[in-house]
Amino acid sequence: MRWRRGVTTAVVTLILLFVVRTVLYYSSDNGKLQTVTIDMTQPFFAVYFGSPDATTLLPEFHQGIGTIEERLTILLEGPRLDGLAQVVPEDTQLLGFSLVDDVLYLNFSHHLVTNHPGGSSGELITVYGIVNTVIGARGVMRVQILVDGRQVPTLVGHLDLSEPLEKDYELLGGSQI
Amino acid sequence: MLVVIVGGGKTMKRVALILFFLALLSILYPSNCDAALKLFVGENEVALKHPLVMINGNFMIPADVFEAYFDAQVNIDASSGNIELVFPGQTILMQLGVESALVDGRQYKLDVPPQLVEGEYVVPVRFVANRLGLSLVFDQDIMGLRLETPGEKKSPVRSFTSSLIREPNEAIGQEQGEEPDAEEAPREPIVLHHPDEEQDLQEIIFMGGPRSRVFLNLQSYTGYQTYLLQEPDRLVIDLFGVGGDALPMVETQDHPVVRSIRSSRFDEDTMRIVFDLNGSTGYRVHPWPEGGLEVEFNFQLTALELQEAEDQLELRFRASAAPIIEAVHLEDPLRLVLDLQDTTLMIPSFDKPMGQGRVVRLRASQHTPSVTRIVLQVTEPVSPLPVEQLEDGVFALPLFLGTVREANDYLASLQGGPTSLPEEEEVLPSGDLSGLTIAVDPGHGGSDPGAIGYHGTFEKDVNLAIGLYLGELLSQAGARVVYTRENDTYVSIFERPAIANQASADLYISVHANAHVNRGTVRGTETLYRAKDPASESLARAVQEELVKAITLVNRRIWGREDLAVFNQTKMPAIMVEVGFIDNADEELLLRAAGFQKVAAQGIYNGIRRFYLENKR
Repeated sequence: MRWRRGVTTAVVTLILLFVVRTVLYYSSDNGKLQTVTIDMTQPFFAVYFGSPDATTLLPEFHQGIGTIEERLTILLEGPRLDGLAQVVPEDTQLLGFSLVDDVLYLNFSHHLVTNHPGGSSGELITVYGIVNTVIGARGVMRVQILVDGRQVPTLVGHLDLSEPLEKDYELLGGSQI
Repeated sequence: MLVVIVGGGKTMKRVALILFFLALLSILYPSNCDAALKLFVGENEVALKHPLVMINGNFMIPADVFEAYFDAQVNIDASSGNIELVFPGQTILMQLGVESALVDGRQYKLDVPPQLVEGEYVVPVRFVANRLGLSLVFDQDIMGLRLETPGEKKSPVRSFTSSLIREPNEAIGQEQGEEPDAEEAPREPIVLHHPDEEQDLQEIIFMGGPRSRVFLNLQSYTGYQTYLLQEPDRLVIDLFGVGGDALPMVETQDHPVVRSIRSSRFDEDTMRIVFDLNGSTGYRVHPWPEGGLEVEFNFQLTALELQEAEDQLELRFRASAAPIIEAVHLEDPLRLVLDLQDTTLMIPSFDKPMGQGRVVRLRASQHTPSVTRIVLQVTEPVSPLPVEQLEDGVFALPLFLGTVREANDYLASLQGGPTSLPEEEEVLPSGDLSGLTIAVDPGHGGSDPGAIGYHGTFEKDVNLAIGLYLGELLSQAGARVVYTRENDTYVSIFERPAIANQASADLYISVHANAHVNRGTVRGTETLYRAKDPASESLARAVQEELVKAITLVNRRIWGREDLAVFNQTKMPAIMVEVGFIDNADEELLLRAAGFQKVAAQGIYNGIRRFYLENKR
C-alpha cells in the first residue's frame, strides 16, 4: 500500500516537474534570453545586432566556426538575446553571395531597401550589422552589398555603397567585443 | 548536495525514490558548469570558479580579478551591494543591479549592471577596461579573453583580434583618461566621497517653461527615490550619496505648478528635496549624463470643451501649454483617440453623450499617470490638425472632417510655398553672413520619401520645409544660399555634393530626420560630420548645441563618419543634421508641425552663426 502511494507520489512529482519546466521555458520572455554562456574551448563567432538606443552594434555570440552561411542565417533570423534590435528589414532574403579575392559580394532581395525604415542611424546599423558580421568569416575582409543582383549607390540615401566596405569599429563602441 | 539516509524499511524505499528523482532532475536540467571559459591577464590564466557570463553582449568578470592582478583594492559591501574598485589613480564605484557607475565621482552609464552570480560579484569587464585604459581582446589562439596593460603586449595577436579599445560612447564624462603607466608605483588610493568636505548639491535652478522644469545641479550622487505626497501636495526626492549643506529655498513667482523648492539634510547620506506644488501632478525625473537631475512636471489640462459648427469642429482646452498629442483611429464604433502626452487632467474624468452632431460621445480620463486620454466617438472620420493657440493658456485642436490622408493633403495644400517667417525676435543679434556661400541640402525628395513616420509623414517633406526656412534665415543674414533641391524632386546623393562644389560653397548643411531599425523606439537629435575634419566637427558641435537648445529634444551625439556620400564627396566643412526621429510618434508630430520646423531651422541657423563668429578670424 505504502509502496503504491510512493509510486503515485513519484508520478505526480514527475508531472509537476514537467509542467514547471515548460512554464520556465515559456516565461523566459517569449523565448528571449538574458544570458548566454559560450564554451570558448570550442570555436565561436559574433553576429552583430543593434543596441536599443540605435547608437552601436552589440555582438551576440554563437558556437561554431561561423561560415558565411551560418553568420548570415543567424543575422536574418534576428537576435536571440533580449534587448538587441534586428538589423535587416522584414522579409529580406539572401539571394546569393560570392567571395572574390577578399571581397564578399552579398546579394539581398529588394526588401533590404523597400522595407527599410530609413534614417542615417537605421542605415548605418543595417549596413554595418551585415558588414561587421560577415567580416571574420574565413577570407572576408571587405563587403559589397548588392540588391537584386545590382550594385546600388546607397541603401536609403546616406551611406555611399559604391565601394566595398570594411569592418566598422566605431559602431562597436570602439571595442572588438 | 549531501543526503544522509537514516532508518530503513519503507522510509528507506521512499528516500531512495526521492533520490532517484533528484538524479532524474539533474538530467532534466543540464548544468552548464563544465563549459570552461578562459580569462587571461597578460600571459597568466585566471582561475575562474564559474564560467564567464555574457549579458547583452557584455562579458562579466569577477571583481576580485582586479585585486589579484591590477593592484586594486576591492571593497564589497554585501548589505548595500556596493562594489568599490580602488585603483592606484582612480576609484570605480558600482552597485548591484544599478546601471550607472561613479568613476572618481563622475557618473557613467553602464550597459549592464554588476550582478551577483553564484555568490560571486561580477562586473562588466569592458567598462572597467575602458576606464583603466586596459586592452581587452579576444584571442583565437587561447580561445579566451585577454586583459592587459597596453605596454605589456607580448603575445602576437591575430590581425582581426587586435586590441582596439578607445574612448567608448558610454563614457559621457569628457575627460580624456590618461594612460595608466604600468611602471608607476601605486599611489594613495583616492577616496571617492567625503561627505564632510564636498558640497554635492551645487544649485537648484528653476527653469520654468511649459513643463515647469527644475534642474538639480549635483556634483555627485549614487541614487534617488521620489514620493508624490498629498495634503499639502508636494513631490519629495531623496538624493542618496549627497554630502554637504542644504541650499536656501527657491521660490517661484506665481507659477501655476511649483510654488517653492526646499532642500534639507535627511541623514548623513541623504539630501531631501521638497517641491511644494499647487496641485497633485505627474512628473518625470531625468538623470543627466553629465551629472545632476532634471525634474519636469506634466502639462495641466484644466478645461475641455467641444465646439461644433456647420462644417467646423474643434476641441478647445485650457492648459499650461500645448502638449504633444498622439492620435489613434479606432473602428466599431468609429472613434478618434487623442493621447495628450505628459499631461495631467485637472478636472474630473467624464464620459458624456453629445447629441446629434458628428461627435456622439466625448470622454476624458487620466489614462496613465502621464497621459490624458480624450476619446471622441464619431459618426464620420475626423482627424486632428495642428494645435493653435487662441490666447494665453487657451488652445484649439481643429478637427478635419475626413481621414488622416485627406487631412495631410489639406495640410500640404496649405503649405504650398514657404510662408514668410513671422516677426520673431532672434535669439542672437542679427548677424552679417554676407560673403558666405552655404549649401543647404534637404535630404531625399521626389521618388525617395526618406523615412516614413508612424502617422505616415514623409521625411522628404520635413527636410524640405526645415531646409527652406533655414535658407531664408541665412539669406536674411546676407549669406548666399545654394539649395540642392528647392522642391519635391529626386536628386541623387552624388549630385548633391557636386552642386555645392560647383558653387564653391563654404559650408554644407544637410537636413534630415532620423529612423531606427527598431521603429519608433528611439528619440533625439544628432549631428553627423565628416570624420577627421576639425572644421566640420566644430560646426557640428555648434549646430547640435544650438539646435538642441532650440527644440529641446534629447541630445544624442555628434558623430564623425567618412562613409556618407555628402561627406566623402564634398570639399567644404559638411554636416548632416538629424533633427529628430520621424519613426517615433511623438517626434513625428513635432517634425511635421510648421512651428517646430521654424524653431528647428532657427536652431540650426544659430549654430551656423556661432560657428562663423567663432572662426571668423
